[in-house]
Amino acid sequence: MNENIRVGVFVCDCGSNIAGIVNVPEVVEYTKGLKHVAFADEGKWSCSVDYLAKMKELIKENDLNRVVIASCTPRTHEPLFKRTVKEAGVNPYLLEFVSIREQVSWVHRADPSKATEKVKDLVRMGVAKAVLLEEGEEIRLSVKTDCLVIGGGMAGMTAALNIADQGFHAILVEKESRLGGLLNRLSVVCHDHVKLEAAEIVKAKVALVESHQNIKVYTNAEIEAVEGYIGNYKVTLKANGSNETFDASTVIVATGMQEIEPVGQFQYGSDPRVVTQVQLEGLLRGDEVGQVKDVVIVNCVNSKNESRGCCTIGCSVSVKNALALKMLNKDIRVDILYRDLSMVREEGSDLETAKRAGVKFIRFPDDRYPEVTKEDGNLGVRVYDILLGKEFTLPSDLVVLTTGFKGDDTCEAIKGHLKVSTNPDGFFQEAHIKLGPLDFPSDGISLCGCARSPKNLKDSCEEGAGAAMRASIPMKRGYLEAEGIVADIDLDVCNSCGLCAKNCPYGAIKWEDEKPNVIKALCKGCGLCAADCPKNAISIIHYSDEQILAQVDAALEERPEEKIIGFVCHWCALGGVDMAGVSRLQYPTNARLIRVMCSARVAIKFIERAFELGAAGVLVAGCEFPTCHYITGNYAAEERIKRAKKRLARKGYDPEKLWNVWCSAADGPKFANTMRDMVKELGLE
Amino acid sequence: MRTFSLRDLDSDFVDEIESLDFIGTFRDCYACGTCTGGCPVHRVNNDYDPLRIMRMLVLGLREELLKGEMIWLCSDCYTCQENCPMEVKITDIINHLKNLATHEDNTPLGVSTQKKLLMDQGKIYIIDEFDNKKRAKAGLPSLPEMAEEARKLLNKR
Repeated sequence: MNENIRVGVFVCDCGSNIAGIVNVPEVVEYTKGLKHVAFADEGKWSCSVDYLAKMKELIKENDLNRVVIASCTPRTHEPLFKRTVKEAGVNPYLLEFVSIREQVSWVHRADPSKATEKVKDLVRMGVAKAVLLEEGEEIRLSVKTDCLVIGGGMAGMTAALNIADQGFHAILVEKESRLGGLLNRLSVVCHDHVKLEAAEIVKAKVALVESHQNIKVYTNAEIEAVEGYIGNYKVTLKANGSNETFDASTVIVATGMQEIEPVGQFQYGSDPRVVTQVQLEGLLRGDEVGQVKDVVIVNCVNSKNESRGCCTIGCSVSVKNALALKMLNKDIRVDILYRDLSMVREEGSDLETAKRAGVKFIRFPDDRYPEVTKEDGNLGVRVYDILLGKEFTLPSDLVVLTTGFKGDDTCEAIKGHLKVSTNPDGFFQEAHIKLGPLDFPSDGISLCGCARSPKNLKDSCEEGAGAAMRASIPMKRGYLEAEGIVADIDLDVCNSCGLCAKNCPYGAIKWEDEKPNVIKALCKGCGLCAADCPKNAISIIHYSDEQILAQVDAALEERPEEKIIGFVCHWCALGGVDMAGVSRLQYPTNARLIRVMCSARVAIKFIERAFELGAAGVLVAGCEFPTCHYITGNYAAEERIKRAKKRLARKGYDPEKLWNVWCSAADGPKFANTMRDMVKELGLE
Repeated sequence: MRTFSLRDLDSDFVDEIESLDFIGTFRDCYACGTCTGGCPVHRVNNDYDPLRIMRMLVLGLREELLKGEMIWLCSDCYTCQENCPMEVKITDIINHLKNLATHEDNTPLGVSTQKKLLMDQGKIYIIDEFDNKKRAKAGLPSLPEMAEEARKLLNKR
């Protein structure tokens, strides 16, 4: 290391939040004695405008080239201090954040002297890492304005129109010969208040799409391949027999859904008088219902059971179609057999109308579905009415099954092309149900409509507009900025085993000329590859092996037998730690936490080093299953912990001293309890 | 368990009841069970269940309703009707069903016996000479037989 490293340490009082418990002047004095520390200061309110201005001056005056902030939590204040050091002329990647409020003063209020000792340790660990920090930079990718929309149903068309209306270019790909999707097979939508012919709705939308100069439509088209990443997709299309290749910057998935055919159930397939809702829609649309007298609708077929959830639209579809039949001929008897009716908003008034029109509703129990019977060629439905405790036989000349839905058949292929995942129901899986409902974990690909879950027309169109907005953000800005925390592979050390490329949850490591190549735009910096690399050839910028090991060493410099080294993921586990702090949950002071981006970053060698140095225990904390900020990082971490335990046992360490906890960002009590349990079990009380 | 065929059910019966002004619609019933939940009779006798009566009515189970004993267990307290979120006039409906059953001579033994007593003597409890003597001792006038008036009233309908 040639440069003259000058670390500046800024310890915050946070008013009395920290200084009320921790002896901050003592910490500052101690810090000044650490190697490479050129300057240390106490700030009353470090995040105040005044102090930030002073901090900038101090950094310049003292010629500091590394900064350690010991204050609240990086989850809230890191961006602010990063900006400040940047303004002071220091690369923001040379900042190390030490959390002494959430991790110390708020949770160890009963023991100020131990709290102060812990702060000294944490600051020493921070300085040890800061010394090894290297400059980094945000990765900037240019994003042009072409958006590939897969699926020309109502959601896809709405998305394409919203993209095109902003002046961007939409390429709309439909596998069938005409646009419209599922709506092409339905009769009417929204019955009671405004009756709209499905065909009319499609016609109006298609006219807008086809006449738009910014939309290019491909029908009878199939996606052959999608290569690349946001801003740089190469799409190969097979349309009308010939292949075509073009570039796209963003992708919207709107592939829709299909009914699960209830083959072999309820005489479906063996008797033409047993149909699904979509088939009934077809009959209504073509005016082919014929002279039926008794129609029985059976709801919740293949949904709301052990393997699938509620289809969410079946109830309103059944009521809508019951009314359609009644409007066709008021003398048709219509009975709806249901388990539960979930009808909200305007659907509720449809239900009222149906009841008054004479549609009968019979509720059957979850474990006793109706049976379709056939005697002398006459169809009947035997149903047990749970409210009356009676069994009825309903004569019937048309049985309609409200079946569950699954993702479209093309899902599997698209999933492979885009490297995204589907859920057990065969629908595409969004990044997060609340925080990223229309996004995939990979940047640049968004999701909408029935490809995500069954929806009515209104919700599908709304999601189409939403997905268009998600795709438009980088296209409007013209670039995407990604954090510079990415994997870096030393190809001289690499032995081309291929493990990294195989395990990367983002497909960010490509195999080129027998060697791995990290596509920085795709890499999210979770560190899974680095932790598992058998040759230690991979380094994660800002979370390198040396930096993390330096923190472990610094933490265990004194009295290691009392200390627990905790590796906590930035997203959920550290959130849980912070929540324990905010909730003022008191727990023992033994933990020395090291932040990693994902629990998958925790290599076995980190754990081993801690035990070699005599640590009382090691904790690996990550996101609660099944969520993970890095798709499946916590699963990889869990597997690795099992291997680590075996390795520890072989080396003569007690594997029971290696703990793990998977906690959500809101679960402060879980983290605090884990600390208490660990201290108790490890005999540190 | 008996299996009913809905073909046998009487849809006209549903329309007929619903056409009565003082009853209005009961098809709005969404089977929440508030009626049964508040019913004081149900609390001591599970056989009585106003929700079941409403469901039977909605499906048109005329015979079951008018020939069964269930409607006669209602104590006429109006708790169900007051509680109903869909404003179904449950007690009024049950009273109407009782009337219909009576017209068809489908009254249970207890009720028909009471009716007979009223017709014969004008009272449900028989007042004889013994009672009137005791009344005289207490300075009360003797009670007359009221059979004639009761018959007049009962035959009015």
